Amino acid sequence: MSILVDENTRVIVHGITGRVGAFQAKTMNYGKARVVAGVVPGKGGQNLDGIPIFDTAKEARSETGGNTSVIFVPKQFALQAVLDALEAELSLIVCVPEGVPVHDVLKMKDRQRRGRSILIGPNSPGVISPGKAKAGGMSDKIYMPGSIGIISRSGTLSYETVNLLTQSGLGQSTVVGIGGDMIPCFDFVEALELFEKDKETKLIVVIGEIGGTGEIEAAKHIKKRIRKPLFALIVGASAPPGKKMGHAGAIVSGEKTTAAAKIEALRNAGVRVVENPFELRDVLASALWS
Amino acid sequence: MNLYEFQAKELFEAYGIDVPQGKLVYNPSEALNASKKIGMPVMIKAQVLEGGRGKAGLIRVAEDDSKVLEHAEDLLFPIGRSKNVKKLLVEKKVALRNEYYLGITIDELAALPVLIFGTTGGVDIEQVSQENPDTIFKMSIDPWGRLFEEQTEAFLREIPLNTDTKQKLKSFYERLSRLFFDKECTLAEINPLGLSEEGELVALDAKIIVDDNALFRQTDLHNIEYESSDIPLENEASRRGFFYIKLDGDIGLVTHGAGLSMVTVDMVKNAGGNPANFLDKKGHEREKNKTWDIQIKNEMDIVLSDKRIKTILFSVFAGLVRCDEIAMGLRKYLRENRVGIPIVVRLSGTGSEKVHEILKDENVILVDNLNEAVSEVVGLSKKG
Repeated sequence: MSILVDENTRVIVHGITGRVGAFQAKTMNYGKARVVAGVVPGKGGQNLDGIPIFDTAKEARSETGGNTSVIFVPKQFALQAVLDALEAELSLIVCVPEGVPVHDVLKMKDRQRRGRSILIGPNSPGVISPGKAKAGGMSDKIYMPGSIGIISRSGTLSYETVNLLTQSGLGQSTVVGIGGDMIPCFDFVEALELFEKDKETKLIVVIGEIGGTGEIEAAKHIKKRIRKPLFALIVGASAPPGKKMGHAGAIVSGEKTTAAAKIEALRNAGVRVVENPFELRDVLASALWS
Repeated sequence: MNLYEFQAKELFEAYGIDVPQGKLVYNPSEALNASKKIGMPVMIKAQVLEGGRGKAGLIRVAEDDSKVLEHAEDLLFPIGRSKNVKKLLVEKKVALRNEYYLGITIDELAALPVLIFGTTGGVDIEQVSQENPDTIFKMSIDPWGRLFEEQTEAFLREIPLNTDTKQKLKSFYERLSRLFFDKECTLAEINPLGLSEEGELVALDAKIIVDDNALFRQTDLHNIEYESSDIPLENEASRRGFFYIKLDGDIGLVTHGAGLSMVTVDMVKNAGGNPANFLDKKGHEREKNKTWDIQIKNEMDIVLSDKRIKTILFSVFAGLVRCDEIAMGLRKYLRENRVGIPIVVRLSGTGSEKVHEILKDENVILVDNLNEAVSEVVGLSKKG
């Protein structure tokens, strides 16, 4: 098992002829997953090192059996690419670009709601099930297969954390980056639901931060629905209010969006909350090995 | 991008949303001339970005010439108060029958734009929705900006206003909605929305926040005079393509990635140190610069221009990027600039095995992980 990506993942890369897309396409032939197609409007019929390119995801899907789109187009084309992938009814769409205008995000979310595709991002580093499949731009070297499921708003913080876990022999079932934007199209609650049902995942880790109310909603959901052991790393406790801390979504703008409020809500839901990746490694090690 | 009231009102006028007659002025004599043209009484409103201007005494009423001069003088050149007001809006004081709230913003939870009407104006709408939810009316709106007549009518039916005012409110909503979508706002707010003695609606205040991520294509807004922050270093960093937020400590941080940068600030604080700043590269901006040399120079220059700092933590976890390229950029900077304070360097991830070789002749303290880096730099900051 694992969630979202696995042995059956067949990747279609939107923007495969761009600098990042071309580089990342190669890295996603990882585990049992394969990159089967690229989509670049106007370049249908060409190929990149043997990977066929199509004008639309719909054609790519019917010709190659691709089921997952990873989007590496510049931010101003993200909406168009996501709508194209939704049109093809792919099971998973990962939108990587950072800085996508929020009105575009509202539009993609609106269209996604009317179909059955899962849409992750924008500003997502992607999803990886170590040893099996990767749909995104993370470097696979720091991951190892295991039983910890991780959901993170921050790419870099998840890399740092995963690297520490792997060095200590704490493997991961799936690591999903939901992105640091104001509106994540795939949120903590949806990811929690999938991990709860996944047989391979024994423990779930939530990596959150200041801003927005995603972690508060997650805490409510955990209290009601999640039975697996839960751990959370919440960062930004020392951030001044009213300042955007890098991520579009990371701004303390009300009582519910502070690190303290999130930590309290998660603790009340029975979650073990820590404030840095080293502590997280230690509590996970003792939970798994004791 | 948070607009000043006078800028937001210019947009309101362009979209046919009525505002009181007014003029932007920079000194007391201009204020006097403006008030003579407009006619007494006038409102004199300090143009600052923060909310709560009424409570802070930054909005005044003047009934005669001497009061105009007195208030303008006091707002622009205050005694015993920090001076940050450079512009005033002088406006006709509208005789009012009532005040309401009208705004469009983004409901994060629903992931939809939302229209909000409140029967009381000039209030903190979040507070009111907690304390008096019955006075607030909300409607999710179409994210594609389409107006649906039936939906609007159904919304208006719930609102306790007479038919004439409702029709006027509808037209205000439609115009505000067009502005909200055209300019890609995250907030377009009229608070208070006045109902004049003559029965006309008028936007007494105007607050517009445009999505920063959309500025690249909101070219009309590129010419307006604007600073995102009151802190010059923060504005300079933003022009150079990264986030820098000034904190009040003595440890300079050069870090990458929002989450990792935030946890670094937290960890330094928890270890008893005081960070001087938060720093995060902005996503794909680096692609334009192509090399690390320019980015590292920009970041180091900004961090070092804060003269309070005693030491620097330079820390990157390279997931997509490469440590060896970053180390080369840092070496170049160190050879071309006299830094003069100790630098702790932590470069982990892709390419980290080459870092020691690249930086071995430089005057830096190399450590392997973030924990060690934090305790090292906090120790250095305490040495005086």
